[in-house]
Amino acid sequence: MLHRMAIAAMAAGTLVVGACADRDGGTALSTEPQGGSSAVQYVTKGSVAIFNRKTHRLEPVTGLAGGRSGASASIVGAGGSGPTVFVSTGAPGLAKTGGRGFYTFVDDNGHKHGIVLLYRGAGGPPAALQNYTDGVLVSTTSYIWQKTTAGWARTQSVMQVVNKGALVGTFTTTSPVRPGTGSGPIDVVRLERAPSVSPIQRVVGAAMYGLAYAFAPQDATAQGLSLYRCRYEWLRFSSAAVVLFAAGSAMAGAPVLTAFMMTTFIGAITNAAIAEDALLDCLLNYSQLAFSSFSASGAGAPTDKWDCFAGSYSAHCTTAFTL
Amino acid sequence: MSPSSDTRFRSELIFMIVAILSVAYATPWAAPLRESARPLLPVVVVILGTISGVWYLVTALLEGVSRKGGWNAAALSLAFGLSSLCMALIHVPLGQVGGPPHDVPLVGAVVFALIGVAQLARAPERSGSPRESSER
Repeated sequence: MLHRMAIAAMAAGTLVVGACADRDGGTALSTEPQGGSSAVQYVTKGSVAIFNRKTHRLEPVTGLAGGRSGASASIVGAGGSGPTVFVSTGAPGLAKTGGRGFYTFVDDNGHKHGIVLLYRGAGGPPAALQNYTDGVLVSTTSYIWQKTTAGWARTQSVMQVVNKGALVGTFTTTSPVRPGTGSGPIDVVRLERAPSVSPIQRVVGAAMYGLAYAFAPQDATAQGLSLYRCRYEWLRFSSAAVVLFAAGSAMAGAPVLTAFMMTTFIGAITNAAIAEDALLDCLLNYSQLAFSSFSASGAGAPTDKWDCFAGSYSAHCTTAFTL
Repeated sequence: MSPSSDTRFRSELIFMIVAILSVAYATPWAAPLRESARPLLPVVVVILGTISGVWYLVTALLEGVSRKGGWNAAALSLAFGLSSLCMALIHVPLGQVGGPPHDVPLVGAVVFALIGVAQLARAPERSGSPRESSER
C-alpha cells in the first residue's frame, strides 16, 4: 500500500504541474533553464496557472519581467529553494536494480493515465518519470538524487511538458543539500517513528493487522480511490460478509457442529470469495500496478539510453505505452 | 472418553479442519487456486445453500409443529434457512448465464441473516435447536 501511495503522490505532483501547462501545443522551444541562481523556474509559451494553497484555486499567471523571448510566462522563484523530497532507505518505490515500473489508473473523466518509472542500473529512486494520458505522452520528469546515510535527497527535478511531441514547458526545481545536513533529510517528507506501545498492544495489533491483511481486499488506497466506481461490488462484498458472519455466529452458537451447519458455513465462505473476487477485479480495472521489469535491461531497451534517464521524450525513450 | 463423546470429538475435529480449510481457501494466498475453480464457485454456493436452506426449513417446521410454542422457537432456523436459500438464489442464472449476482436475493440473504443473528443473541438457549432436531 505504501508503495502505491508513494507513486501516487509522485504522480499527483506531476499531474498538478502538468495541469498548469499549455493547452494549445506548439513547436518545440529551447526554453530549458540554463542553470542560474534561482531554484524554481517555469518557462512555457502556453498559458500558465498556479495552484494557490490558500484559495485552493488555479490562478493564471502573466509573463514576468525577464521572461525569455517566445515565452508567455517565465516564473522564477524568488529566493529559497524548492521543497526537498527525501526518500528513506527501504521506503516503497525504490528498486534494487534497473528497470521500469508501470502504474495506471483511470480518472473521473474516464481518461486512462499511465506512469512509467525508469530506474538506473544501481536501483534506488526513479531516475525519470513519464506521464501518459490515454496513451499519449504529456510530460517527462527527470530526477537527480543525492545519496545520504539515511536515504536519498532529491537535489533537482526537471519536468518537461509535451504536447503532440513538442516541448511546451519546462519546470525545474533545485533543492541543494545544505552543508552539514548530508547525513539526513533536510525536510522530512515521511517520518516513521517507532511506536511506543506495550507488548500486549503490539501482539493484539499484529494479530488484527494479520487478519485484516488476510481477509480484507488489498490496498486501502486503491479501494478509496475506486470506492464510487466499485460501489456495487462493495455492497455485494459487504452483504456476503454479513451472511458469512451470520453463518459463523450460528455455528459458534450451536453446542455441536453438524454437517448442515458446515454446509451453510462453506457456502457462505464461497459466496464471500466470489464477491471478493468481483471486488478485486473491479479495483484492478481502475488501478493497475505492474513492476515487471526490475531486472537488467536487455540490449536495445529504452532504459539503456542515458538520455531517457535525463527525461528525454524522444521516440526511443517513449516506447508505446499500451498497458 | 465414551464412544459417543469420542465420535463427537472426531466429528467436530473434522468439521473444524474443514472450516479452517474453507477460510484458507478464501484468503488472497489461495487466489490462484480459486481462480482455477472460479467458474464452479457459483454452482457450489447454489448446491450448498439449497441443501442447508432446506435443512434449516425442515428443522424449523419440525420445531414449529412438535414444540410447545414452537413457532417462536422456529424463527431462528426459519431465518437462517431463508437466508441460505436467498444466498443460493443469488447465483442462480436467470436469463443470463454468468451474469452479475442478483441484488434482490442478496438483500434477502442479508436481512434474514441479520434476523437470525438477532434471534441468536436474544435467545441463546435456542441456539441448540438445530442440534436437537438433528439428533432426533
